[in-house]
Amino acid sequence: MINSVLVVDDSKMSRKLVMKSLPEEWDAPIFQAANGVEALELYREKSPDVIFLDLTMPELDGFGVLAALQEEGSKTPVIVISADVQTEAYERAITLGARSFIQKPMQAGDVKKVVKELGLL
Amino acid sequence: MNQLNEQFDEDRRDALQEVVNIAMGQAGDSLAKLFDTFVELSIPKFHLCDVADLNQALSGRYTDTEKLTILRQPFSGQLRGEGIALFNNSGVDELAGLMGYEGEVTANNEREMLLDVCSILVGACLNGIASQLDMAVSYTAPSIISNSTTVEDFFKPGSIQWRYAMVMEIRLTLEQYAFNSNMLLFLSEDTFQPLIEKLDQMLDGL
Repeated sequence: MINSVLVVDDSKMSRKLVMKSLPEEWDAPIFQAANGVEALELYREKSPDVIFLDLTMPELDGFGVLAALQEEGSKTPVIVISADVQTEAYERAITLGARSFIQKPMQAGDVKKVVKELGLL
Repeated sequence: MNQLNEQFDEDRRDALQEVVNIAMGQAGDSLAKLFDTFVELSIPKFHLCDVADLNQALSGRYTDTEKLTILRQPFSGQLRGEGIALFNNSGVDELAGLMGYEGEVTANNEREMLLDVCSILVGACLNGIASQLDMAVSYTAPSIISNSTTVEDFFKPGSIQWRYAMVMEIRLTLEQYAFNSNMLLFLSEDTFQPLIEKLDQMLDGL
């Protein structure tokens, strides 16, 4: 059961696209952050059930967010959605605890496919 | 200029920046594969300016005395303009090693390597932009403009043919290497309107 979602991306358009791609079954509040610092604040305040996280962002990037969540012992599933499509970026994100990685530009159905694979749907 | 700034409102700028961000990721991946090392991507900077003010817009990106190698890659089609790739000269010295080149590096070898890297970077980035926006783009051969100049000297008034520049700054750096690259994409004025229409189509689809 998903009670709230956190979408983190410095692009408003990308956040909209992710929100539009979320399963209709998740009738849950969606919180938005435009950088890693805001993301951690919202995570601590709202305790979302799933986080969609961009990597290249101002203030604190996605790797920094993943590292902070890992250090705090977070169990919240994080799905990275990034334009950084290097193999090493994927490996770093997974090592830092990301549960899945979607490459930008996102294709229709990418988000639903991943949340289904992770048993979140 | 004010009219142009109004045309590229916050939503359109955000959309374009994200398009460039995705394209930069593809360019970074191409470079990572070529060099077999991780490429650190920066957030692309985007600004519209009168070319006469370009020097000021780029101030602070380099030291006044930092020597650069600068290449140009023109492109045409629905997206028209030129890509300018700037490499720091201390990083250029590492290119042969990064590209797995063995033996003595002649000036000709170095020239070919620079042209290859420029072509890969600008090509990957522009292909990424063009494919997302469904716009056609084609390229002419890249060329080296200068092997040893400074930003201040290079962007002096009259050095760029465009009156207005839509400058997209893209910075790529390599871990544990001095090499870094900045790419500037200049788009011609006649590209602005079709670009805005494509961006609006993207935004309308949200």
